Amino acid sequence: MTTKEALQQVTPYLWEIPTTFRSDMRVAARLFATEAMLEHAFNDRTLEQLVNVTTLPGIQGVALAMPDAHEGYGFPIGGVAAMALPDGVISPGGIGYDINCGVRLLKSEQTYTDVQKHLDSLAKNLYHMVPSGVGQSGKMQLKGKEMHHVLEMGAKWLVKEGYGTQDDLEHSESHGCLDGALASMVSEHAKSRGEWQVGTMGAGNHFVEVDVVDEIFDQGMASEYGLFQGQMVVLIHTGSRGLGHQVATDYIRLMGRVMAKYNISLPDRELACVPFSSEEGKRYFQAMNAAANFAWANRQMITWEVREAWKKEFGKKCSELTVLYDVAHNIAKIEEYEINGTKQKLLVHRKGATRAFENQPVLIPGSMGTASYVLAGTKEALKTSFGSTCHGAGRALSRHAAKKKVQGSELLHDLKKSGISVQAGSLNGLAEEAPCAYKDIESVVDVVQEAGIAKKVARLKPCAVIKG
Amino acid sequence: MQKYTFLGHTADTRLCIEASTLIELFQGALSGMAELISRTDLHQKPTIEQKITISSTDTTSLLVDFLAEILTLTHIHSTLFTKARFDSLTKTKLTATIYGVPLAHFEKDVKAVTYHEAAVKTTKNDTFETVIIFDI
Repeated sequence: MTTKEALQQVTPYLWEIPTTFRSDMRVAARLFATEAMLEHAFNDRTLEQLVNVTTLPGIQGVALAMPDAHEGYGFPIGGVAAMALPDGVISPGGIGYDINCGVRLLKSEQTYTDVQKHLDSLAKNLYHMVPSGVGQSGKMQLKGKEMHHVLEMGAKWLVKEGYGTQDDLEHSESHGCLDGALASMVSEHAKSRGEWQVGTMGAGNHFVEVDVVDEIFDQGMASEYGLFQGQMVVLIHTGSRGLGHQVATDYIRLMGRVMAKYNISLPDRELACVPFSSEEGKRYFQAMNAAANFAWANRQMITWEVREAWKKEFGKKCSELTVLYDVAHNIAKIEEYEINGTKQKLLVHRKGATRAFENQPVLIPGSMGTASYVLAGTKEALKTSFGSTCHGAGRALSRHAAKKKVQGSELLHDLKKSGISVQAGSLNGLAEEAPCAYKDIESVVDVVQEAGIAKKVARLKPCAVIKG
Repeated sequence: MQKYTFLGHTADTRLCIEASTLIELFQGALSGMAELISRTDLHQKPTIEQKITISSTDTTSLLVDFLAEILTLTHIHSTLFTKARFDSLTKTKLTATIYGVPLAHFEKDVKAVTYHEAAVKTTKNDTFETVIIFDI
């Protein structure tokens, strides 16, 4: 187990484990955190996993953990690692099972005063319109060529079919579609799992949430983003559903089997990887892009569903919800960075971490009942964190521990007492997602601000929460 | 003999299984996963069966791949598989018939079976044990 003695403080918000800590480390490991937050990192295997990441062939710079990091499998959640191309490795564990789990924010022109009396009814409408919970099917069946289009065109295909606008795409990371996706690299098992899932939220920590812009920190950036105090917005948090999970499962299994032929051996099976330039590496990248496109299509369809629910509640004459931005927080992308004075294309793995390019909106969902944040990416992030920042509050308690602390019915009552309308499919599921199960979002966001890898633009307060 | 217990893991669920034989270890892991997915349907008499064949590089991978295949079939066919009858089980390959019931309701969204911390080993009591972590 890693202890504080292994860490050297670089800045008040950045700690390093040097390569001398363990003989198989290729680069140092760094963690964004305050000293107080380090205790969380010592309570589980976050740091051990981060050190394991440093052993990956081709890793460049440092392996990073964000302030919301916690134990995952293979990579810690909140982990970022960049690999040299073409022969550095690609590792599905560095992306996660829920490929392109991410967040989209929709803006309205309405204020809290306009909608306050409608919140209960709106929550019910949203719960009705957006299928949620495990095993729930969406409205659209994807077979054959429809599935092919979604996997290779992502949100673009949904817009083409009338479920959104060009403006939606222009306000999404990668315009809601990654080139280089190949539907044929996605297994039939994965396609079967995803057949009825586009436009579905899922369960667990996924949600649709109606929020009010509670505080503006950066008026200039807020104006650029079209945000104002008292404005009602909608957050959508979901990913690639069963299709993505299956893609990850398929390729982690494949890579575990073929790794030895590339002379790769690793301290953790879930770090299974192959050179990006290998046949298996290319296939996984193409499949990962396809699953990412599925996730963007999913969030696009849910956008349509939310818009329908909004129109039903407020009438067709109300102005349309528009997309501020859509970010991925489980993905790998080819991006250019300077390493030792030379600009290089690198494969950046982000697992529970969000891209934070200069002035790009960064959407950070808090736990249910606490705040969420809109941040802006910074130039500093490109230098310090491979253009990355946190993705949420990060879990502090296991689901089991959360359920022991909190009863779902009590939590529901407390949220309602705080003025938050809740529609949830499972009281057990609700308890597992209780605010006490997560780290303090304010502390997490303060760290990324102080570290310069994102800056606060606005804080959002929940008014209605819809969960599976 | 086979027994299993659930332990906490920060974001997911950890299942510890101990059994007298390898077959019982596989059966115990399957039962544990089934209980995680749906306690309600767990004890219903199976009415659905399916044959599966899995081959892997080692026994630990074989167990994870076995559970992963069954999880996939659970999601695709909305069937809770609770039992397995093994025609053959070696260290790297198995053929089995799995038995299940229509799944009315997923109590947990088990996204995947991970290899993390999985390591089938024999104890000093000559039993088999391992941990399996499920991504929820």
